[in-house]
Amino acid sequence: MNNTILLQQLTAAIAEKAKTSNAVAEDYLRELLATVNDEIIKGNSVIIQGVGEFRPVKEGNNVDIAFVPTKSFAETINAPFAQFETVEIDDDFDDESLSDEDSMSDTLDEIIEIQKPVQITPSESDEDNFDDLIKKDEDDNIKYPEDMPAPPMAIPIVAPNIEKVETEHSEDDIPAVDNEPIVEEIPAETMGAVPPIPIAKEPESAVKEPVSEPSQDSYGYDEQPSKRFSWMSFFYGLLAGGLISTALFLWIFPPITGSNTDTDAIDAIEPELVDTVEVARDTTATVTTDSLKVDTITNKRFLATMAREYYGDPAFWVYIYEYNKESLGTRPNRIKPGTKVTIPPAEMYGINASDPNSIELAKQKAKEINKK
Amino acid sequence: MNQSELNRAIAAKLKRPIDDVEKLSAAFADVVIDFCSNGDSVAIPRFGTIKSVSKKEYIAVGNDGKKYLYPPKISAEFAASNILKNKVKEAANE
Repeated sequence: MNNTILLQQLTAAIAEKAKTSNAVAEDYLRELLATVNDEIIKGNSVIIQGVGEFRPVKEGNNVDIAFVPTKSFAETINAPFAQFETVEIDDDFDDESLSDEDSMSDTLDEIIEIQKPVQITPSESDEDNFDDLIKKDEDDNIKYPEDMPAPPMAIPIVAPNIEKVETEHSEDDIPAVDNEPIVEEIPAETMGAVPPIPIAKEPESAVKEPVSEPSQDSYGYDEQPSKRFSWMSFFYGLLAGGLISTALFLWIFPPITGSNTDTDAIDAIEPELVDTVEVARDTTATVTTDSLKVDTITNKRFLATMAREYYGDPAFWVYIYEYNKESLGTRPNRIKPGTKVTIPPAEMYGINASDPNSIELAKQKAKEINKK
Repeated sequence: MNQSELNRAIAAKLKRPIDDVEKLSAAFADVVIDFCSNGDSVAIPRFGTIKSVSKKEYIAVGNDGKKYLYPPKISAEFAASNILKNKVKEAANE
């Protein structure tokens, strides 16, 4: 459906239909189209057997070929809607009633109805059916299938509730009901050991044969969603905790990027870093020897940081770099933490934070360094 | 040109009996109808495309002034190729 049949396919189909060779069908098709085209170009209409009439139509400068299918062609192609007829309607009926939404809403309602989960509630009649399906041994104990998985570990949620019942009620208070197990007689440590319905493996069979459960009294279908919910909530909690701890770790120990090559970016970022560095600054990082100061590159202390601190503008990092070039290497943005640098005096390079020319020179120097 | 004239012209060009050409013409029509009934389009180079187009139901006022609901419909349409149209236009302008 919705395919475009090309000439080769058409030829093969004609050959098969006419029980002839592809070559003959191809010759026929070629002559048919040549003849039809010639007639149409002359301005004549052409009737192709079983298909319809092709007639050239001219409207001003526009030319088109009108096509009128044969009755059999039209009826065959409209066969899916052949049973519909034109119907007189009330004046109240309008186009809005024919909107797709309306027709779709009915269909959607059906779909939603079909997809509603089937809720099974045990009833008296159901119990009778379940009894028939329960297999019991001679002692009237439920006989489990051999391939049934071993019961899992006890569910701690269940046990505490049962212990409370034991302490709050005495034996006299609990009404004795025939064939109903008394809670006190069941040890608390084993109460939680209720094997689940094997829904994970065979959910359908669990729904159809609920009697495969070991105990009908303490375990029902309603507990399955809560058990699943507790596992899901545990998983989500674990995931959330992992994300929060990762975010905290990255915030406390940001990745080392060295000094930025773009000085404008440094201006935007550094103010915050400098403030935080000043609060948590390691005083042993700066060592003053004679008139030259020695500083240490750290995760939070870069050349630009030092330039801002000593010279008043981070753009002057280039001079610190140049003075210590031998030990820093050719890549100022790849300096390892712990590297010691000597802070040259401002007079050596004409550093003046209040002079825009000085800052401009420093920026140009930075570009030269980065080009290398 | 009606269908018998067309078949005769083709038979003369192919130098084949008229019965063979009529059989081929019938096969051609059946094939085109089959494809269009399945919702496919038949594209013939330098001629055009024959395709089926579905139209939704609609409400209209008849000549008698009454409202009618017209049923949905699938109809066959033909889209001529530009080459053919241009040739027709050129021929008309001559």
